[in-house]
Amino acid sequence: MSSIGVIRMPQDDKRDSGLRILALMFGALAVWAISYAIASGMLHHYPASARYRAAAVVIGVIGFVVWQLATAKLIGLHDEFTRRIHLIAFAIAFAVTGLFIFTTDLLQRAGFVDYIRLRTIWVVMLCAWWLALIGAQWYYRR
Amino acid sequence: MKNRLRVLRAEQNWSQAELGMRVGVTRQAINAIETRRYDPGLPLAMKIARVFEKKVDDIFELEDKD
Repeated sequence: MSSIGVIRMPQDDKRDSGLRILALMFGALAVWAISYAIASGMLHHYPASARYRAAAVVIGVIGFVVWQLATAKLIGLHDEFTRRIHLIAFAIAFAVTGLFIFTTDLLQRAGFVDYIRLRTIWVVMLCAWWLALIGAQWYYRR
Repeated sequence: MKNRLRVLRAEQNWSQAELGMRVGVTRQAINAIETRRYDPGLPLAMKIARVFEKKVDDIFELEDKD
């Protein structure tokens, strides 16, 4: 179909950009979730096979890297102000996660807490990132 | 950094969203600049100056504390 005579309005570009961002976000999340499910399934069903366990790790990591790259691309699609908000949120999440790791390490060595799973640290980092994002948006957009 | 964005926008009778669309940022970005919570980078400052047909210096002004 010819595009001659079709006038594109700014809101059309904005809508297309929004759809592209949504597609990228959900696509990357789907890749991550599926690869993680596959990796978990392989680790569960083939605990004795080193080859399968190694493959599970590779699949899981690839899915995660895809999600990371997509997130970076997603942030890059925004304007400089939104990128600033993301930068602040990352900085806060980094600081909170570092503080959590440092504190739990000392608490473990002091005998106050038992072993802490790596996934707990991961959840703390994600929550800190999410809360920092909301906080930064609230500060700049109120 | 002080700026005259709100005044210039009012003169053109543009909303924050409209100005944002013209320079390629969100309404929230324009609001943050107008309320002086956010200083724009050079490319955005130049885009803003261009849509108002002014120089960057005519819109943004450094203060002693900057």
